[in-house]
Amino acid sequence: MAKLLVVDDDKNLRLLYEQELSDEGHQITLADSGPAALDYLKGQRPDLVILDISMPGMDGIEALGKILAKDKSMPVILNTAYSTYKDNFMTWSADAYVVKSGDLTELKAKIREVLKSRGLGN
Amino acid sequence: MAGTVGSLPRVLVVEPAPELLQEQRDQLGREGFIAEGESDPAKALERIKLEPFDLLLTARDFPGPMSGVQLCRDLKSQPQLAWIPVMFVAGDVSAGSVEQLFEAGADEFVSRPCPPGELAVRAKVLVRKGHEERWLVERARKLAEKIAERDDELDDLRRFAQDIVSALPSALLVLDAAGTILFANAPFLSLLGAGRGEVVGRKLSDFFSSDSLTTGLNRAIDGAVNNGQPSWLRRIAHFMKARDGMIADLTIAPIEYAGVRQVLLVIEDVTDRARAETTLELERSKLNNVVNAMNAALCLIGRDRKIVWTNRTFDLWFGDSFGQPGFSAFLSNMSRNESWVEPVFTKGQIQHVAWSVYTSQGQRRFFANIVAPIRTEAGRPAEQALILTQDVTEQETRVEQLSLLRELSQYLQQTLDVGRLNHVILLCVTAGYALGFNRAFLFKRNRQKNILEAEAAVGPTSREEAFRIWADLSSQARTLSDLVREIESKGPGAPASPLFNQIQHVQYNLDDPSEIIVRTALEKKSQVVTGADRDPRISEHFRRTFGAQEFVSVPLIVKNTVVGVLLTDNLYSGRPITDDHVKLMTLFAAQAALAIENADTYAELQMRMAELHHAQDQIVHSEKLAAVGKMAAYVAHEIRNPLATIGGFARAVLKRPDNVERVAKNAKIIAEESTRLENLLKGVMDFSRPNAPVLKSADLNALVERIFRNHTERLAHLHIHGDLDLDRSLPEVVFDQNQIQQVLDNLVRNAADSMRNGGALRMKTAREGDWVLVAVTDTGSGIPEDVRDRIFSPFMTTKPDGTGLGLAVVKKILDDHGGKIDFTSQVGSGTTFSMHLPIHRAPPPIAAAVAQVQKA
Repeated sequence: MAKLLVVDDDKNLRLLYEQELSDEGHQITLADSGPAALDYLKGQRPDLVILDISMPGMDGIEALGKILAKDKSMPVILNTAYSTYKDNFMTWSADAYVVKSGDLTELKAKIREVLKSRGLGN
Repeated sequence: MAGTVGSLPRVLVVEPAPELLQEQRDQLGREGFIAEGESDPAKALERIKLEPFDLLLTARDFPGPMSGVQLCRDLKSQPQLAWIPVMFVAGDVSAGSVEQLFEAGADEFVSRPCPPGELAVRAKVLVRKGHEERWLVERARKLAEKIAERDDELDDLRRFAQDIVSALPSALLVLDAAGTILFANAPFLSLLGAGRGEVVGRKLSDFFSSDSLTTGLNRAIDGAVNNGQPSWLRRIAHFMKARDGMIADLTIAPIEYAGVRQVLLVIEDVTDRARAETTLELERSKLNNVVNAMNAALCLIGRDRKIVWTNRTFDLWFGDSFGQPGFSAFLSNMSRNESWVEPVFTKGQIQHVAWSVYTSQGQRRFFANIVAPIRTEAGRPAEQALILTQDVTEQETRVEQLSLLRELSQYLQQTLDVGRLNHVILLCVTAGYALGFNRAFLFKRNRQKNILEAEAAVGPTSREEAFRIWADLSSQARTLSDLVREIESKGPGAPASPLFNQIQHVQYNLDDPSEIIVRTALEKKSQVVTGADRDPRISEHFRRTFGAQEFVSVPLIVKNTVVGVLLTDNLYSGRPITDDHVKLMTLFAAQAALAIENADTYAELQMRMAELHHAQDQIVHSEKLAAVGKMAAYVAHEIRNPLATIGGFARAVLKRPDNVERVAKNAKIIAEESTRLENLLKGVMDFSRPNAPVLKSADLNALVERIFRNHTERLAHLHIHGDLDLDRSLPEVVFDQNQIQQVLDNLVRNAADSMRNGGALRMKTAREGDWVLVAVTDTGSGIPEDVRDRIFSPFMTTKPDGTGLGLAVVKKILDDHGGKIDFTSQVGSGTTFSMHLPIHRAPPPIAAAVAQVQKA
């Protein structure tokens, strides 16, 4: 079981992740924007951050930079509707890049993979 | 004045013996005298000097040093008192001593004692005598005074006469019968530069050097002296010292002084006057020459309109036309009425009038007339009128030429239709009297083919047609602009020209300098030909084609490059081509060349424009593709989120269909997300659908009000205060109800979205010039500055759930309406969106185009 922070501006998508990832046995915290996530990270250290890129105001890439600036070792999975962001070298600093899909299998697999590589998985 | 008149005579009795004195006073008093008494003669004399007495009665001897005789002598020695009679009264007087009394001036002597009445009788006689004497003395004195006055007057008169004589500018002389000068006044002396002493007594002839004058003068003096005959001479006098050559008027008049015949000679210096007269005479004859020779017709008419006088120019110009019947006939010959002459006679006004006449040769002549009243006496109506007529054809032609150039350049700025322009240029050369050529041809340079080719031609094709045109012209004077209007009324392009049809295939190779047209272009110089048959420059082909003996060929040059050649002639009228014409043609050609160049440039520009349009269409097309790509990316993204959500929850439901509560929750989210997808699709459709507005004239206020009402409840719920401000005078506007509603709905929704914590929303309509305005103002968060220039771009949004299409659709709708949308915003205090729709206008081009496409 791991502590996950899900950052997405889409309310229903947050609800989906909360429901499905909870079923996987994780403890889920939700944030609806980059600043809200950074705010949360001031006091908490989740095991993994699932970060949407396309958000109004501060986008995921900017948020990623700020998160890593604070804690270089923070595992982050970028989760976006666009595959184009893969070309942005900033995204390379994330642990994984998952394109949004109704099928969460890939996301779940990446979560497991990242957690395992960090010695957190089972 | 001593003595009394009209009252009782007063007598002074001087007697040393008191009793005698009293007795005499009594005697006289009884006889009507006032008798005063005095015992001392000296005192008596003093009294007489002070008081009025008519008679002195005195004794001879007195005890004092003064005797009666002395008293009498003293009294008589006073002129004022001498008239007072003195009567001695004495006794014992010898005859010798009586004698002595009378010598002393006594008037009477009475010896004492005398009979009582005697003294008074004598006294009365003496008083009367005394009065008589006093009157005589008085009279004599007055006469003497008068004589003295006359003497003064005479002196004055003499001085007066002398003043006059010396003040006269004329020299005045009095001569005796022998011609000796008796008197000469100052002017004469100054004429001679001599003193009076040197002149008086000399002979007049001494002062003249001319014998003929002396002889004539002597004869005149003789005539005056012997026959009393006055005479008058004008002579050039050569005085000894006076200025030489003085012209003098001499007047010789007989006068008589103290019974002697003398001669008065007046010499007047009339040199200046005589010279002025001569000059005047000269001037007058000069003026006459000028009046006759001047290039203006002068004519004097009487009130009866009969011609009184004309100068030679008038006769030359209008010759027989006036003759006997007078001015009216002249005018009617000139096809004019004389109404403009009337005010000259009735009101004394100077009149200006101009007219033009076509001569039988088809030439138009202009006359400018000034009519001035001629009065014989100031303040009286004019007796005659002077009419000064100037031939201003030259000036008018110049004016015409200038205005031709001006009109042309004006026209050239307006027209860019090459065909019509060519025609107008040739019209300028042929129509009117500025250049007035019979025919004109335009050749234009074709750079590709290196030739000059016939481009246009204007003019009659036969002599008959030429004469018909001239007749037309003289009956109705048409200006260039009239002609141009005529052409324009016939539609675009050059009007048909039979003359052009004859030469339209004529072209000259620019490599062939033997052709005059080519030579004109190559040399860039006008070519004037006066005898085509003998001129070696003219080819046989040219001669056959154009047939004119005399013509001018002018290059059309722009920026030192020949663009064409203008060829003109007077084939039918045979009017010689003057230097003036060539000069004007050159000037005109510069203008025309510029215009042709302009039109060509414009045509080329139009071609380029078409190319540009084509290129732009392609760009637009590729931009559309880009937009489609952008939209695809956007749609992909926007769809991916709801799709992922729907798919995720659907899988969750499939995985755990037994968990009813969760299934319901998930299904609700799925439904929400599908609605979201539908909305997205609608937005995309709104934007991409080529939806032409359905334009109808309608009440914009009503629509705004309806939208406002629609939103009122929702706004209240969001704690937003709504405010509506409608301009009731708004005119009806043409717009698509549904689309404008969509615009306003969008604006109101945006406004509400910016006021999450409540606020105020205001909708306003107003007229602004040719536009109506609908403004939506909120007190919301305002538009961040960094997105302001992008807010109308599609797919641009700041809202978490926005499609980014709302304002893009708004902009598209207003563009389709020919309207405008803009905004002002202040971060933190609010935003105003202003939508403008035009009031009067043609349907917007896109709408019209779409409508046309749809109809097709």
